[in-house]
Amino acid sequence: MKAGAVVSAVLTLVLLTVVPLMAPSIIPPEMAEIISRTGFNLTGFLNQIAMIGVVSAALTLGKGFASERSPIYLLLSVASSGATLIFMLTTLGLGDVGNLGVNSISVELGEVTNSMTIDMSLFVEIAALSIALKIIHSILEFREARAQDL
Amino acid sequence: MKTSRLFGLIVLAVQLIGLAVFGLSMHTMYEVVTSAASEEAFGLEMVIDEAAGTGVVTVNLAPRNGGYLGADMTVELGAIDEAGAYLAKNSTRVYLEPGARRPLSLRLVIPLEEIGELLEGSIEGLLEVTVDVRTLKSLVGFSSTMRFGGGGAE
Repeated sequence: MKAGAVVSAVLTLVLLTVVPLMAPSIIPPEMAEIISRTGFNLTGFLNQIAMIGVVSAALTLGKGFASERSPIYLLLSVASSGATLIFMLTTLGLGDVGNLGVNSISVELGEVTNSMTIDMSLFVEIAALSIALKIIHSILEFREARAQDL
Repeated sequence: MKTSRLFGLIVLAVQLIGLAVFGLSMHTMYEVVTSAASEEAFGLEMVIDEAAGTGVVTVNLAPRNGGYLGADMTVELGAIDEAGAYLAKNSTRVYLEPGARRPLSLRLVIPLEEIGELLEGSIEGLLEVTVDVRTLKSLVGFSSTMRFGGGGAE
């Protein structure tokens, strides 16, 4: 359980923190130029993902060391689900959680202005449903673990 | 089977369905938008009819849905004056089944007098083309509004 938690936490840290922090140096300069023209703050977005990664890895590690029967385990599970929801909202909102999956980007090229809107609110709803079910799942697991003690 | 285990499977199913729906809808929208924006599928022309006193702007599109879901595509064409008011506006909508290609044509009739003013520069104007693609019963969508010209109007 502990070894699994450490591996899981390291993987979360690599995928959600190390990779996003390294991404700006990997993206081709032409692509970075196009992204900057849209006014999208790529560095800010990647930093947000990296921070969520640190929190998620810490929660995963904490869960691995807590007993399934302890209220702390339940708290960490619920917090971990909350972090996943924030990650989904941040990703689908391109860094703005309040967008709720509806993103607008505007690019100006000479006398041509292109305003784009992408509506991904359905996936925010699916993510919210999935996280709500995950929290119920965590509560059920906790209750069953406690019932085994009785 | 334990209730929590059953619930865990339900959560996994919801997550997998969400992921599949995300991939399929993004792929469908990408396919439709890129096919509509390709050079061979997009055409814009303007014909001046002096006898009728009008100029006709025609947009020809031949979008193809290379995705796995049906998609609704709306194309809107408008000419806007410096105050932001539409001089003329027209739109059309087409439903594209998976694999279907449907050519569509959209005409915009503008009074010749206003075209003259636009060309002389006595009024600033814009040509606006909006392409809206929606899939999954309009639950997921992408819209692009391109404005060409003067730049004074919003």
